[in-house]
Amino acid sequence: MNTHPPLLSVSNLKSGYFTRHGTISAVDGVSFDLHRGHMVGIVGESGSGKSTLALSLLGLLERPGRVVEGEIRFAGKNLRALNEKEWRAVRGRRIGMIFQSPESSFNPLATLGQQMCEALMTHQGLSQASAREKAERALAMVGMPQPKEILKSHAFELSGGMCQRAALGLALSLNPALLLADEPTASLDVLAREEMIGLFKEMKKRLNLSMVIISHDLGLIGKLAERTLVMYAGKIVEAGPTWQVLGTPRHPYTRGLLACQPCLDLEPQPIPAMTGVPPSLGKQVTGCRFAPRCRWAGSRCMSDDAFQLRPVLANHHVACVKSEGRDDVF
Amino acid sequence: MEDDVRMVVRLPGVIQLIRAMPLFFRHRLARAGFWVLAVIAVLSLFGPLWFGNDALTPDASRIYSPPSAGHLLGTDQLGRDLFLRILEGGRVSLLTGLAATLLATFFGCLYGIASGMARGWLDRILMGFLDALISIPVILLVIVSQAFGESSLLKVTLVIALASWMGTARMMRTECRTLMEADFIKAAIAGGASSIRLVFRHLLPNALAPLVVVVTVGVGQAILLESTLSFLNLGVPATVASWGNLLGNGMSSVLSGAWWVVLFPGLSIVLTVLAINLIGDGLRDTIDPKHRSQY
Repeated sequence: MNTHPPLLSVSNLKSGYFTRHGTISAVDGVSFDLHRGHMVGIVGESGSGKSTLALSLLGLLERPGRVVEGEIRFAGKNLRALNEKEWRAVRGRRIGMIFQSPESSFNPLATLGQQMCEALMTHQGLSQASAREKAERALAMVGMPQPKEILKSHAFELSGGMCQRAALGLALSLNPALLLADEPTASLDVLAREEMIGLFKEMKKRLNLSMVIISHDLGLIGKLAERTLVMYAGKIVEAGPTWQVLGTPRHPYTRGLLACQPCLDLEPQPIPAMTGVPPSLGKQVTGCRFAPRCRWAGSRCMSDDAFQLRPVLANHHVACVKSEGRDDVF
Repeated sequence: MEDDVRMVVRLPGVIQLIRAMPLFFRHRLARAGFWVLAVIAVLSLFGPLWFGNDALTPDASRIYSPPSAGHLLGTDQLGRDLFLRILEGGRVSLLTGLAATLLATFFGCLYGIASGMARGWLDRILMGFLDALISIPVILLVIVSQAFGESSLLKVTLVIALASWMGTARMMRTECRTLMEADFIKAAIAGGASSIRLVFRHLLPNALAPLVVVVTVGVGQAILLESTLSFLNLGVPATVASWGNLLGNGMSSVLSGAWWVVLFPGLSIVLTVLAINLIGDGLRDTIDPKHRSQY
């Protein structure tokens, strides 16, 4: 295994939203490591805390949200100790981020060139001319034809796939050590999605890029990430090598997620959607938080430690009492 | 047709304004308002230079001459040419209105953006304070301001600005709060943009379109307020001509049968404010797709 210290090490991270009506713990004790050149995928339903986790990693969680506890170590530094000014030097420069809706992640009033050059000039102190040159090279790197023309256009003049490429180009032009991608392909059509996946793979190889990919697209995660974390109700319920988590899922929630992926079978079948909704994170519950929706739930699931991660194999942890010690329980 | 389709996609700010211009001039009422205002403004600013000041010296021999070829709009109680007096007054009224609105816009933007970007307690305090200010009647503000120094153009401008910046502040705050949720703002913050960059690069340009509408209508309101105050002798000094002053000083003339001394300054005010409001409506219609079905 990897002997270097991890690039990103999150331990026992807790983030919550503090409102007048009570506290919502959206991220509740999440820990994971990410090594240089690796990708980790985080999957889960809407409301499982994925995006709050991503925002916490960039120090972007806004009131009433707040990181309460835990440590975020990035390249040896504790990010939680940074002040706002130090954060600005990390954002973009050391940790890049790309968003779900590519067209709207550019200011509609400025050309892509203006926005890319501005970022390059502030972060790397380049002159206008060399920033422009670098922006062109960045766009060419992410496979944009005619980068010169693209730089002169506005976001609404490009397709979603092209915008997402440009967003990736912009993020990568600043040479970040880590890239956060929040639903990077959710608003793209299937072809653009395939292209993005190919691009991510290529960038990973060429730039030794490390990425945290947040998505509910299991196909995307399966093709890119070495490790997969499954989040439910603010906690990681299953963590392990992607091929194991998606290939032989141990947690009933992971199974549920996999079961509702549509596949192009010869016989079209109804998608077995999971019943129920994610729990409201306001109240503290004892026992497994997935139990109300789980068809295998039993009395043991109500014990206090039922929702703790426990090892089932080397490197593979599952938060389910029924997964212990057996290869296949369900 | 393609232009129209593009307008429906909400393109904020400068692009929106530039794209709206052809549409704006296709808007009949707005076009009429624009030309009326242009004529009034050009006449007021350059008319006195063009026509000379001779007819403005008091002349007892021609007090209250009715409108005629020599004196287009007649003469006033001191025998001065009313047309020239109106042009002179127009300069004061228009410039005061414009200056007061610009001042109010500047301060309103500052306050609104600060409130819109700050969340939580600061936003609540700023908005609470604004609500309290809005509840103070303008007339009270004016009367209190009488206690401070001689009446002057500067003071009137300040009072009008003080009475009218709240709407802009409210609008900017709402606009900023909406924009702060937009992905490109989040992307900019995630890219390490500072607050100053956010304001000047992202927030202001994208809020420009509604701001232009509010400012335009605000100029009309400011002119109206200036006229009202001057009419009540609470505005510009009595020695300075403004439309409100002309109207106020002319009130007694109506009793002598000199209706024109009051009618024409009144018409100037109505025409100007109407023209400005038509322009404002036109801008709103052309900039905001939601209003476009009306014309």
